[in-house]
Amino acid sequence: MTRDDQDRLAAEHVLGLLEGDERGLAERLLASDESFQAQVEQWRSRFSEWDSTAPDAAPGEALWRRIESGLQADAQAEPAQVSSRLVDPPRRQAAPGLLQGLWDSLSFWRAFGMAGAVAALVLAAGMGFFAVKASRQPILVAVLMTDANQPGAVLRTFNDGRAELTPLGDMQIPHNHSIQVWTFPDPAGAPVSVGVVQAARTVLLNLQNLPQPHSNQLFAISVEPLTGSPTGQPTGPVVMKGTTATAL
Amino acid sequence: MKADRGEIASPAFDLNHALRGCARGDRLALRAIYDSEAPRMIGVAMRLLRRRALAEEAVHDTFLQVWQKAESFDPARGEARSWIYAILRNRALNILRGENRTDLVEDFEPMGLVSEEENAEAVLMRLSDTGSLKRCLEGLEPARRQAITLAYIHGLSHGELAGRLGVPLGTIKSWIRRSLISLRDCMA
Repeated sequence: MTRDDQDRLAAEHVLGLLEGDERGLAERLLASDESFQAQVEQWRSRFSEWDSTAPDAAPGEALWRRIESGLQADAQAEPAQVSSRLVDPPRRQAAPGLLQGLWDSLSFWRAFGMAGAVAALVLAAGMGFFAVKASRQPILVAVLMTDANQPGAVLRTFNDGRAELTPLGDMQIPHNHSIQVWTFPDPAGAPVSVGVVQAARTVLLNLQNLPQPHSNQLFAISVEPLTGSPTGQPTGPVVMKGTTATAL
Repeated sequence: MKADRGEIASPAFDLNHALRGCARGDRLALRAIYDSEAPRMIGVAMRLLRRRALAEEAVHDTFLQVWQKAESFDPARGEARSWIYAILRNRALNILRGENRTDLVEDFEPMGLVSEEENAEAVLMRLSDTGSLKRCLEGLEPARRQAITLAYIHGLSHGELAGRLGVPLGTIKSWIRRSLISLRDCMA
């Protein structure tokens, strides 16, 4: 990698633009390469003037209290580590008494208890994670195809009544416009708006006021003014459409 | 902390001093950083994350990291201020880019999904006339200036910039790269 490539990598790392392999590469270089660290530091300092243009937002006292209690949790964890470090070496010399020493060691039981608590926490977090995963299994999935017959976005509905739209690739929203998502709860009826999207990122759609979506329900996306269709019906060109299928 | 010193206390000097205090375990030093920087830090995080609760989360995590890592801060390798803001931006971008993606979506309101975005030209006007960033950004074409400004302050990705500015992804990437080269040459 040339010095220029590396400098570009440093700048895009500071901008937050790196993805995938390049992001991993920048993180590795930042941990190990002094010339890269210096380049990153230079870009941080060049761009730091932008930070000064952010409007101030007065923090509440509650935020400080949360930070302080975070410090306390940190401080309580420390003495245990320090004492086990201090108690360890002599015990290693007295090998025969090792078990007895462990049995009598407050720091051993403290660490043992901590390990148990950590394991329980990990287990609890894991169960929570899988429970959330399970409740987030989609019921219906629709791939919305563009005019050019390319997949443009994926729509998923969940059993709690929510639906998410995820753009694929680099979905482009024309400047000063939005895209509006429509569905046809009644195949013979008029389209109903379920969301106006201004940025190409995963968004939640509003299906709460509609009948439970069914398979083979049509979803379509039209280009509309920034705040959505002024008439309540699609006014711009339809750029993507697709029907739902049961998720397996 | 600053009262007992006769010399003019620059912000960088104060932060260096406060970070040394944190490294010694002095909570008042952390509080001093909080008092002087937290309002601006919430502002920076709000521009990236759009929501107050998420911005406060990022600032909260940043202060805990500042406390834990203060010992490793080396003033010879960079300014205290940019060290703190680098932690903040990293944290906020991580929240924005992935780990909490579903949280971002969870309380989405269909119409008011993002707080009003700042216009890149308005941000340019607020940059200090004495700094070189303003002068060098003014040397870029407006659309390119807008792309790099939105990338930094709102954390927009290449794809989001392409959508926002209505140009192909490849164009955005080359705009950013060329802008970076001319900024580097101009600010050197």
